[in-house]
Amino acid sequence: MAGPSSSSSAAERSFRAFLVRSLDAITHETPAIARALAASLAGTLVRLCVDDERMVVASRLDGLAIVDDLEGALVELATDSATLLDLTSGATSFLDAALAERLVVRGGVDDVVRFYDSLILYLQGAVRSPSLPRLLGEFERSRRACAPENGVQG
Amino acid sequence: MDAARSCADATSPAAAPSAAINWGIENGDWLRRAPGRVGGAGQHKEWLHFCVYGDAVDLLLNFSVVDDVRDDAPASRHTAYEEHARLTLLVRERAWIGEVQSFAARDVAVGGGRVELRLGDNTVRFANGRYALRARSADGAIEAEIELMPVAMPSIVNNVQYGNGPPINWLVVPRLIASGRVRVGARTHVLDGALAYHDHNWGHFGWGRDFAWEWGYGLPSDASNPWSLVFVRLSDRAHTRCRMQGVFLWRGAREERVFWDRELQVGQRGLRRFARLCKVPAIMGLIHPDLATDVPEELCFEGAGEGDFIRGRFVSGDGAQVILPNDRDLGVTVINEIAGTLEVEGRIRGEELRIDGRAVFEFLGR
Repeated sequence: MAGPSSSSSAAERSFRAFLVRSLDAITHETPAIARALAASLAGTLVRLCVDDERMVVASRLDGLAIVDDLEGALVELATDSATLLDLTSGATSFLDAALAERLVVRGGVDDVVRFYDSLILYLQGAVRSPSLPRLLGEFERSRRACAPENGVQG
Repeated sequence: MDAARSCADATSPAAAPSAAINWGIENGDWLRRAPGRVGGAGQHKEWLHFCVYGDAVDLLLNFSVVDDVRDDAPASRHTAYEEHARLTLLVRERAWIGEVQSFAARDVAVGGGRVELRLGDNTVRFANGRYALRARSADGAIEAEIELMPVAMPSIVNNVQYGNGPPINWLVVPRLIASGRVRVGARTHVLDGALAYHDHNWGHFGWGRDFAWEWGYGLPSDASNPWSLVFVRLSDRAHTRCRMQGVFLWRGAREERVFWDRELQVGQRGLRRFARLCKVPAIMGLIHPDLATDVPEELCFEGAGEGDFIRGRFVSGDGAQVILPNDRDLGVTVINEIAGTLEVEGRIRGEELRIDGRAVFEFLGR
């Protein structure tokens, strides 16, 4: 049946699915960084809005969880897949994306700083996880039809 | 000019490499492989590095195989052992662009005891007196198919100690003649007699430990000029204590002179300001977005001893950064690949030395 397989396929290609898989890889492949990442977000809810998706990152005893949107987020990040791909390909930076309002972060100053530190921890885990290049490649390919072409970094 | 030096002069593209050069490469440049695969020490790193100076293009290729250094990595035992293979590809027409590709173990073949390595469809192999290289960026925008004929004897340096870490080793082939092509997008650069450089590094050392290096290799713009130069300086991470330094000179095929340690004075002038830096892997640019570096505007050296002298100046130009996560902490190690110009003059064994040409200097550390 086309409908259910299309929607399940869309779920598999979602940013949320990529994020869950990447956190799972970091948890298994760089557990010390995963623990530090969870600790860095302890007591904080972060809302992520990517394209049409909304989700919340919550720190729990067994690590980070990605849950459906709920109230109480202290930090919200809003962007789109094209910007994420431009960031990971080096076509733009966090600062340039923020100045161009392609990436918007809302929250109290201290909470935003704390979130940025957690984001860098996530990246530190990602670049040390052997699975992440493949996972990122899969996410890039799933967005290729919608995202601008990004090739070699220059 | 004596007969030995006449035979050793192999600067003509048409000249076949001498049997001695072939022997030196076959017996020195072979891939050591990680001993952790058979229960030996871990943290092994090994790479083959090539730089080609085309008329309108520079190309850097680095094929590396490094041990998995994660604390939670499978124990270094036989089939459970993990290595990581990567291809660093940098090309410069007006400015550096490039990438780092990672390869799954199933796509990697390493010829231990030979110069033979395959990472996906990217290959390097030494056979019949030539290195054959093939490399392609992941999106196909950059492609290189090159044959390199070595025309200078390799120089091998073993067990260079730095700080309290295990030693590193290297082999250098300072001069090769390149033929083939490099395609960047829709533009194809034909190489016919271009000069090139190759080195091979191996050892058990960790990124993030207390070491840094400045490593430069320069070749004259005039291919008939027989001189080739390699500059090496190892220091602590803060660049406050030099552990070894040397300028290696070849005339034609033969290593003619080495200025070591106390024979050399090395200085730097200014700081190179970059409006942009090509950072690879691209994602590492998010962790290390800085444009400020400690790359000097100029690196100068003077050497004297045994009646010989040398004076050299490297002027920094365009830069690219290869950024590596440290093995044991959350810092990064930055290798600044700087294209620039090299001017050298001197007198070696009574003969005038002059090099005016291009060079790539690596500044590793902060």
